[in-house]
Amino acid sequence: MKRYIYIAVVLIGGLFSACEKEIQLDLNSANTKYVIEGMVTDQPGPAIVTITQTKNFDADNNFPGISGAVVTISDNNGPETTLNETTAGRYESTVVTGVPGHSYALKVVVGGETFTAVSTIPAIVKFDSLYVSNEVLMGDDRRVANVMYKDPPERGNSFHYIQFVNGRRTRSLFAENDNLTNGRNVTTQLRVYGDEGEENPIVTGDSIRVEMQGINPGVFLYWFSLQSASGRSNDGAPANPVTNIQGGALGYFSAHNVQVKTVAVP
Amino acid sequence: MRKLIPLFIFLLSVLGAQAQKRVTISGTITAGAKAEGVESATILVGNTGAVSNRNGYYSISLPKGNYQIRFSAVGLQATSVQVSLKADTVINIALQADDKSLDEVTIFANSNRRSLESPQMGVEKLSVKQMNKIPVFMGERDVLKTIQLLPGIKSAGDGNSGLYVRGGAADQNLILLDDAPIYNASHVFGFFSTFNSDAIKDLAVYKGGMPAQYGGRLSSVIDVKMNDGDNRDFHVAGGIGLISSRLNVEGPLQKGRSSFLVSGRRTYVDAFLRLSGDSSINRNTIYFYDINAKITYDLGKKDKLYFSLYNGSDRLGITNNFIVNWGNTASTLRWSHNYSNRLFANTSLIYSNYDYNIQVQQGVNDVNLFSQIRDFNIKHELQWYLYPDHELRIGVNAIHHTVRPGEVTASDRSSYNNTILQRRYSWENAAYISDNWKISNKLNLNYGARLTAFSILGAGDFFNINSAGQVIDTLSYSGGQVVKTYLNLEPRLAASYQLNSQSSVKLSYARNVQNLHLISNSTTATPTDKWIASTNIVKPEIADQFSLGYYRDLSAGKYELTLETYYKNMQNQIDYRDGADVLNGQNNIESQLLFGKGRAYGLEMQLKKQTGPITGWISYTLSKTEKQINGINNNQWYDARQDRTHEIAVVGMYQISPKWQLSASWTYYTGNAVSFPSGKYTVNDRVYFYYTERNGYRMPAYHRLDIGATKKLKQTKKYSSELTLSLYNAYGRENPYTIEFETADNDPNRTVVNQTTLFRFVPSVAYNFKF
Repeated sequence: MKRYIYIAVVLIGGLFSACEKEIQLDLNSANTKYVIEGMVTDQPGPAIVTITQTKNFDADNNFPGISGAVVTISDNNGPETTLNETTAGRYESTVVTGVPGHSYALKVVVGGETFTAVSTIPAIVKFDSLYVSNEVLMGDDRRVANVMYKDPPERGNSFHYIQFVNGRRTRSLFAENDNLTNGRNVTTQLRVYGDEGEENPIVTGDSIRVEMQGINPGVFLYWFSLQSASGRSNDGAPANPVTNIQGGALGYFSAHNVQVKTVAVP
Repeated sequence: MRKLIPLFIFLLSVLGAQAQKRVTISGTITAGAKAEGVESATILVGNTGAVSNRNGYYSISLPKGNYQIRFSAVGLQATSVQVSLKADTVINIALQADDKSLDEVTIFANSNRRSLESPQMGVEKLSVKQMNKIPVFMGERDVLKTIQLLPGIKSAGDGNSGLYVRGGAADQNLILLDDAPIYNASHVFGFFSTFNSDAIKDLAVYKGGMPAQYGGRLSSVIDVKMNDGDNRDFHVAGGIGLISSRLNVEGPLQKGRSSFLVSGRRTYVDAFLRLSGDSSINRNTIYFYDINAKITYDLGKKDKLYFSLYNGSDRLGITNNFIVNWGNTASTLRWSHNYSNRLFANTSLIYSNYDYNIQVQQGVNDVNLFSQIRDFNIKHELQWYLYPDHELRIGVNAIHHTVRPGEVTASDRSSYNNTILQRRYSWENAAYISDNWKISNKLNLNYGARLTAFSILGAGDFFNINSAGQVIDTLSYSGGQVVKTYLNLEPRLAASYQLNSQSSVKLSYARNVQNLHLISNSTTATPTDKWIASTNIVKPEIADQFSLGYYRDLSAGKYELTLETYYKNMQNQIDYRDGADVLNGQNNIESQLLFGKGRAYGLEMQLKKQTGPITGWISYTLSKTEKQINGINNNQWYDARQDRTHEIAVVGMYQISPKWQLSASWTYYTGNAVSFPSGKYTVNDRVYFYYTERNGYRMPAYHRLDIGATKKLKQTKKYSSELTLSLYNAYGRENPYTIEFETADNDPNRTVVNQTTLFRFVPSVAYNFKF
């Protein structure tokens, strides 16, 4: 919705003299904060927790990992498993494998601070199919990936999609819940717009892989509210996303199920 | 309260009975050739005076004797009459339009002078004739943009008709068109207002000290009046502008007594879009239209009927993916009756409707979303001129609101459920009384009160919500059952003291209560901003405003100096929780909201030049607006978005010759308070921004010069035409519309700040005619 309005406004301005230019702003520096991304999935492969820190705005976009943290995860209040630091700031454990219905508790102790989070893997909602359709996006003819599933009768199902085109992850964020679609046969389009710095439109011969993550509502709220930290000032009040991590860190801890499908673009 | 009103009237009647030796002059003041009553005309007799009511009636009581009576009104030439008063007398006066006499170059003429003696303060009255002299944006004269040049009234953004008055939010303005509330007064996301200036007679803006007959919003009242048709001759007027054309037809129904007026405007921005070779532009639609109609019908000497109708609508289509229609309909039927030359009554039936409809088509998903707010409104008011020095207003008002927050309809193959959010019903009832009391020649007092009862009605579920925004309890009510009634007494007080013939001081206090709240998460006025009524959780917003003013005429009335200061305290202000989802498809919108308080204070100065070939004004506002809401900004006070420390406007008009007139306006203001990031981080291999405080930064200062020129092409008794040229943002200042933070296109290792400017050097031309 907001995107359409923004485009319409710029369109009107564009009729006259809209212009964009880079400006310099004197932004404050802030005390650094830890940024934690934690993931437990029902797939083979390790549970992964990465720890980085915030930087000042004018610094470069290289975010080094933070070493020396003690990272543990417990499964359904079971014993804590300590994750090993594999590269700087990246902590892994192959012992922890997610099971739908189980709750996972994350604990990170770093730089004298302790952060905790709990996340539950939801029951799997079957990823029925993935197909490509032709759509007109903002006046341009485009190919768009469509995800299909049957939403269960109970409310509260939430999903996060990651789209790869020819093995490269696209940058758009796709998260949805079933507030308006509860119990339906749902088709979700993974629409990619030029204004998010996406590179090339999808063309015949491309391969699209979509990872569908069944997430819990707390993690959905994180992805949903992450939009307001994306740097656009016409969103009423930019703010930090609502995290499920306790203790004052940024980021999220997501225990989720994963299903993957691939399709060749006709 | 109900028992008090008759008692009050009785007491005043007793007061009146003691002064029977006076006689009454009354009558109607009309404008020019039209027999249209002039509201707020001033009748001056020596040191005392009166003001005409909305039908142009006035009434004044004086001891027997000889008097010179001066009649004046905004935009009209003043007239004086000599009378020898022996008994009750009727004097009807037709004031001539100011710009008929081109040699008398007085745009803001003496007749337009604010009243030093009236206790009313914080009010600005403008006629459309005056506003038409000021340069315009895209050839569209716009009353809401013109009033942004006045002190204390701020624009919501570049080219925007939205208003912030004395620190209030954009939804805290009561915008009335012939008494009917307009819920979304903007077209095309605020670039134009819903008021077609051809159909508008005048408007009054109350920034403080609102009279008791107005209620329902915290910050201001913008009372817009539609033109009456000419009841003597037929006229056709129109204009062709850069983005729209207008046509206005008026004439008599019964010659000399009743009239009609129909006025329409339609834009053709979409025609420009189609000219574009770019398929991402030419497949879109953007347009809006407005239709205004008015009938005035004379039912005899004592009765008059007025019927006004407004309908306006916008359509925006981004190909067929997304089509949104939105618009207002407002209609008023008003009966005015004179019981005597001292007692007038007005009874109105009013209908207001705002709705929007969005059609979204994404692959198999075709969804339609509809939302509406609709009012039925009845109002009765008595205006009673009591001997010797009281003018009483007593009124009742009942509004039934129906809010349909959101109704989704989707096809069978679509992913969406048909969802109807609970309709919300409420009664907003009010009774008021006020008395304008001339205590002495120097001291005037206007005191009164408004009692508001807002009743929330079933059927529907209402919720109890904990501090985290979770529903802990659901309460079900059946149809018509009262869920809760909020009773509020709003005292209103204003006093003026005339220091000498050139200067006066005034002070006022007003409490205002607001029970309809606009939920908006965007800085752009979007059609989907949602009106919600107070609920068991959303409490009525309350504002108490104190103001003090000093008014002085300089150089024998050539210049007017106005100084006003105010302090406003606001309770039960609303904001979003972080991560709020307003389109969540749930009935409990309260779970997405936070509540707190606000305060605003400031100093407003205006120096106006009234006469001579050059007229205009300079205004300056120094102000502060803050909010404190638990859950935002670590519960600390923060600057509201519309907080702008300094604001300056300079408006000048220069009549070079009878044919040519030049005008210019320059505005400057401190940038809005905004939240900019104080750091960045990475999630999902993408850069996001870290925010430390709410609205801790400022947008760059805004300034802009507009210039305009009007040339009269032809001016005969039968036909007149003129050409208007204007240039918006004449020196091309790059004022930011948005500031965005993003990764540099050419260097993924760097984050940059990009500013988008919408309007620089926007020229326009319009041709207007009348016959």
